[in-house]
Amino acid sequence: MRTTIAFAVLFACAATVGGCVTINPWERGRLANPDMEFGGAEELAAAEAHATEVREGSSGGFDASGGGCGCN
Amino acid sequence: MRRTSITLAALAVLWTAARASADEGGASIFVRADTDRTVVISPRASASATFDGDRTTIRGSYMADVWTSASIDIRTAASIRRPREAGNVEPEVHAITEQRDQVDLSVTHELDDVTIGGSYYYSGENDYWSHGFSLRSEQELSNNSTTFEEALTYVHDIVGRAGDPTFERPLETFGLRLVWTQILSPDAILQFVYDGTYRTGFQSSPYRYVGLGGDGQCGSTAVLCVPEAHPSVRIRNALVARGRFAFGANASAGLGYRFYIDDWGVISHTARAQIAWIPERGQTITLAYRFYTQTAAGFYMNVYPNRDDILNVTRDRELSPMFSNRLAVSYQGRAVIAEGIAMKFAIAVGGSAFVYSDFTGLEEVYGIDTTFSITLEL
Repeated sequence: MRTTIAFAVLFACAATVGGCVTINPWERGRLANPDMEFGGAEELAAAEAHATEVREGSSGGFDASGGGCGCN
Repeated sequence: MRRTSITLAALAVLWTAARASADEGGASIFVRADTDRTVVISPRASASATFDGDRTTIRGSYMADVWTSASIDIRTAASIRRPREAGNVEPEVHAITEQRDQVDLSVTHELDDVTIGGSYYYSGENDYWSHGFSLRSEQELSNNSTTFEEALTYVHDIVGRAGDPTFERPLETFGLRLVWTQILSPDAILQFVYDGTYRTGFQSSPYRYVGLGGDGQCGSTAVLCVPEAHPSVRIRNALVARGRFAFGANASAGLGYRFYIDDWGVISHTARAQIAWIPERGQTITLAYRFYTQTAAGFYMNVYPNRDDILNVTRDRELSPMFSNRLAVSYQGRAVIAEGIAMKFAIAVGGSAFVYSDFTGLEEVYGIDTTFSITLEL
């Protein structure tokens, strides 16, 4: 539980110093391209993310990967 | 009956999407095979539709997970039911085939600089049922250069056991996800994610048994075999930092790192790197690499002694020390096939290697997977 609180506080502190950078909308054309998306194409990532996550002891952080027992 | 209901729900989602204004519908199939005698085939259909002047979006998807396996877990369980006979190197094991069905539904609504949303999923198989709910909110600040997202999740699982209708154990999961996305420049974007979950309930496998003494495997030289017993509470934390950087109009790179820690003693590090190249407008070729390493859970032992004072025992390789590498390449294309209709198509091929440094009966697993998808934009 202490680790959870420490992460939450760290995240909140980091977030408060954000927002100091402002990029105008007309400067964001390159960022709108699909290759700049963090999660990538969902139709390609969904099943693979689930198959990888159920084989490891960790989860979360990157992208959601669905439910089930992960017995496969 | 349950499978029919899921299929009808999926069709209802697709039909609803087909009647809306700006829509997208697609299908994909994922196939994976590995050296642990497991094959997974996952077809998926998805659709999305926007309403209310593009402010409200409804998404739905249906995915099946059909898998055939004679993995180490199944071989171990089989050895309990039918002990080795003299002269047999390995007991005869018949692969099992099962299917998991999952339906996802989500809705988001934009209110100027704030977006709110909710989602639900149902996942069902013959011995495991899961219902997941989430609520999320997203705020855009600093002329939309900064985005904060918060999400709360609740998942209710029922763990069953095939062939035993009296076995039913609940598992509850409460989750919090915080995401901060910051545009750094016209060519760079940065993101931090915190993911925390609190799980309480039955978290063991109802099929796995742990050998005490001997080499740790039931049916072999173990003195005693007991059901796997994990702690009933688990608190998991994941912190991610990742960024994407464009190099001109036709290339970009992504870097990501995840630190994970939980109160079972598992600590892991995940690094991801990706480069993308746009050879022509509407086409993207991506090469991605992922490295993962983890420590064992505090109560994990490769071989447990035959003692009464050991409360938690496991034969879960996911709780043993391990590392993995994954390399994948993908191609995505988009073409206008008629006025107002575009088709997106994508194919990905990947390979993974899992190395278990302290797990009796399994040292390495090599897997290969491929995904093909096609999507229509109306």
